[in-house]
Amino acid sequence: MNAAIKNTMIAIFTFGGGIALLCLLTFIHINQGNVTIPLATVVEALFNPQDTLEHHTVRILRMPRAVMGIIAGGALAVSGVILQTVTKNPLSSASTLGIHSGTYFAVVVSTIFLPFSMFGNGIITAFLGGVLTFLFVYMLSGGSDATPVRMVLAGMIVTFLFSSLTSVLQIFYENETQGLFLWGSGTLIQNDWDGVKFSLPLIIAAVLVAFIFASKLDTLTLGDDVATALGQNVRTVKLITVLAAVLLTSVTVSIVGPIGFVGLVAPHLIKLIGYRAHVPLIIGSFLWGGNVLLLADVLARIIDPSFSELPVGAITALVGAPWLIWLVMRMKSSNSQDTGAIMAGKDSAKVSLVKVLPALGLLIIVTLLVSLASGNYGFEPGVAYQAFFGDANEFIRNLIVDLRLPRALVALFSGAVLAVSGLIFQGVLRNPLADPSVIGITSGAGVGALMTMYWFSVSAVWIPLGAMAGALVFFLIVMALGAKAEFQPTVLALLGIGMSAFGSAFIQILVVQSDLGVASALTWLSGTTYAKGWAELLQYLIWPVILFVPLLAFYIKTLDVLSLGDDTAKGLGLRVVSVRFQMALIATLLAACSVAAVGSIGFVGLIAPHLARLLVGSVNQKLLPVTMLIGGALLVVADLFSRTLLAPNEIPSGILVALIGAPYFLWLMKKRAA
Amino acid sequence: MKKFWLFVLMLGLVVLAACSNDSEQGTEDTEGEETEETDDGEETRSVTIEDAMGEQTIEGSPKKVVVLEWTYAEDLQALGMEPVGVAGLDSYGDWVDVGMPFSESVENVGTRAEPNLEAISRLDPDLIIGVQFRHEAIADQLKDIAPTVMFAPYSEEAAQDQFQNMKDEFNTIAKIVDKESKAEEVLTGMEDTFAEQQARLEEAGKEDMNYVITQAFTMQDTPTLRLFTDNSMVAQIMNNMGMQNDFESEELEIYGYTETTVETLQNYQDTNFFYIVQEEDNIFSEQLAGNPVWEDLAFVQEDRTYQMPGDAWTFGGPLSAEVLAEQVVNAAVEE
Repeated sequence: MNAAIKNTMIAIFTFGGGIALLCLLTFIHINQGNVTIPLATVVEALFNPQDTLEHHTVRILRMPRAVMGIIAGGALAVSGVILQTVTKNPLSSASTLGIHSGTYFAVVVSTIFLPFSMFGNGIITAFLGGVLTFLFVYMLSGGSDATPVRMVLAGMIVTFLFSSLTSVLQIFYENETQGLFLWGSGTLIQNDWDGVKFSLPLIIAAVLVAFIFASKLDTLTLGDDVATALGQNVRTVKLITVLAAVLLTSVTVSIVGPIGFVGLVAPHLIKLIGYRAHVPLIIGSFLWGGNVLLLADVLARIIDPSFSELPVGAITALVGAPWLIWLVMRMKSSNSQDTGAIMAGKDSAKVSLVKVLPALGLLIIVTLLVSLASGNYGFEPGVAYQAFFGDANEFIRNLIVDLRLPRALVALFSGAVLAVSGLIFQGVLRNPLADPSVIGITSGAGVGALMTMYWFSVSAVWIPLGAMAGALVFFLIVMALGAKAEFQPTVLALLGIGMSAFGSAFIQILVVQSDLGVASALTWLSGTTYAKGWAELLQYLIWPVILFVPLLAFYIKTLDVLSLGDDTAKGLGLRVVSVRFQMALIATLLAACSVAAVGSIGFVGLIAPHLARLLVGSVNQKLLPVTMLIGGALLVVADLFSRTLLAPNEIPSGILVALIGAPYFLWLMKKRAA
Repeated sequence: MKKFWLFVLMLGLVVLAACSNDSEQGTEDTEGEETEETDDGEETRSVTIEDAMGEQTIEGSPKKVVVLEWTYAEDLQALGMEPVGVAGLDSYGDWVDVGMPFSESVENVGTRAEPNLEAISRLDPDLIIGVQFRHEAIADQLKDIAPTVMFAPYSEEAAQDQFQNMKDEFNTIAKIVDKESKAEEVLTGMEDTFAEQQARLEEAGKEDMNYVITQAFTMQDTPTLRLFTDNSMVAQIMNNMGMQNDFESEELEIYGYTETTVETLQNYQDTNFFYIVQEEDNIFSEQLAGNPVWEDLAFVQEDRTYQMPGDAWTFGGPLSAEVLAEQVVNAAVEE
């Protein structure tokens, strides 16, 4: 009996309370704005509208914004519910599966190149972009047989790829895309009811689909085999519900921009309360998604009452990320032993080190030489040769020694350092997705750097130090939180993702607040070897290599033991927790050095270890030198292209790494899935 | 494990060493250490100027100048010179139009955010002009190529009065390239233009207009308005012509405007509303047409809105200022 009462109470709180809170927030929300309108007038505008300017303001500017917030939040939450169920992954949402990045990229492209296609808020392009992205991710991860991890992996890589492309466009079309950056983090501003009128029917339709399939989704949670045995066409159910989820996402993105975290947080809230069946889950998520988004918008305007808008998407992440972290901390430490079974190239053909190292070395030397001889006028080996050996051309020689050589070396070293950092993280977290950016270090460095740039407005000389400090602080926070969970791989990765999101939100807010510096901040954030010289090389790159590589050479074996699983490692007498911490600290310091030198280049740490595994298998002592060389080579090649491809314009090398690396990585995944 | 912590300690020391290196570098003045020999080595002239990075002395009178921000390209044109290299040359014409296109020989030296060092170096310039907020990080590399002047148009100090700051920068550049008399001529000409335009206003019986001026555009499908504050160049120019700005911001806007939405306009309904919009993105005739929050504003009802052309460049030099003054008056007198 008691239980029944308790359940009723919970239901009243969840649904009744949710609605009540929604009303309250809406009311607070419509009292905010650039014009002071007395409370009585607002109330009157609601219940007894007259033809006055103030009433119009409330009804035409403010109400739509509040309503848009509710339905957008609701839509995102419902799409989160569907995606989490279908992918059986508690961390699925439109952003983790890459759908956000695809829709946003589609919008940026059509804004610049096909402005005529931007009718109807660019919904067509956004939806197509979203659907294509999802199909892309879906196909890559192996279609209907996709494992959750594979899917999120594909989603992350695709996100990388699209964000890189988007950044390229934003750097080159600074003025055309000026207005789009804020859009990249979402805003709810409305001028009339058009946005609501446009999106409401679509959202209602998609939510209805979700309701129709609610019981089928319930069955799906029992597992595909059970669902099939119960006579359900699993593939169809998945496909239709996912399409509904993508539609929900694209509609929201096309009207208010990509707002992350709502789709992740709201469903978890309802699940925490204890609902598992999809009908209450959908209703509850919709309500609370609306609440989360409205609250974020109210907060955004309290924090920044000036006219310039804080992106609400950044606020949701700022609020949502600690939430995610708290969720993760509360998780029962499920002994999920996801060993390195999903490491790419685990059991591939092994080539002996004797062959691999010289080959890679040769590749690097050749690339370096090509790089030295190439500049704004393409490849000029004759000129370079003359400059050095015919001592005819002092000017070109200086150019090469002062500009090209140090830059290429910076690329080589930072690539190597990043690659090793990624290798260690993948070993420590036993997670093929791990790299400095996953664990939150890269965004920590970004936060540190930007804070020194805009808040303390000290000279640019201090930026790298800010980056280092930021990286270390973020690392220590993740570790402090992770210590409770004994550095469990899954927990640590989740904490890192939470911190990254928090950091990225922070970065976005800083960038939006400092309007004109956007382009320069963007280039720095995407990581670049632009204008790097001897100073960076000597200050940040040479000594970590000299210090750590010998240390790692005999210390990295412990990662092999770790990969056997915690229990086995403990049985073999390894102090698992302290080893994890120390290795992760080394990796952090390496990553921080690299970020200090060249900004946030994220992809190298992810991709170089995988490539190395393909070549020489999974013994870490062999992997160390190979990974370093591959990472170095990757970045040297990227640097060469970034200087010469569009000369005299630069392409940030971090973006090029992503453009070179991502397709290869995706192809690799596809091949292994087959 | 002892070994490990020893390494950590060493690492800490190295970081500290790197830091101290860094701070020394920041304060070190590496000026006048040019190893490049100019052909006519016998330069006697040298000027000392104050820029964002402090005082510096520049030898000779530079002829080959590379500019990394558009305003200074325009400044040079006003002085009758042409830069040898301009950053962001491709899109310059889309935004700035003072009726003086560059000749074919002007080179593009990359984007304004990341000017191409090699391209600059190959032009062998004898002066580089940049802005602190974009180019501070590469100041050393630029100085290795040629004497470099950095301005800070969006610093707290400059933002107090952007029009004055524009004139100061213009005069500084003139001083460096030895064209001070020409600069005086240009600035006098500019003041004359203002006076002429003011006379036109008075003729039309529109003296002492109060105004709000905005640059408006669509941002993520939302009409966005930049309302210019008194410290901006365009407001200063209008005030120079005896007009009064109704719009005030609580805090100093370093770019000279507050970005806002249509809702804010309700606070300024007694004003004369000047707006700069691109032809293909006229938010007032497109999105806001028929929307009561715009249509019911007093100055719309009473027809006190004045449209200005889209190529009114509010962040330029003296030539842009003249063009702007004329555009304002054109808008105001044409009924």
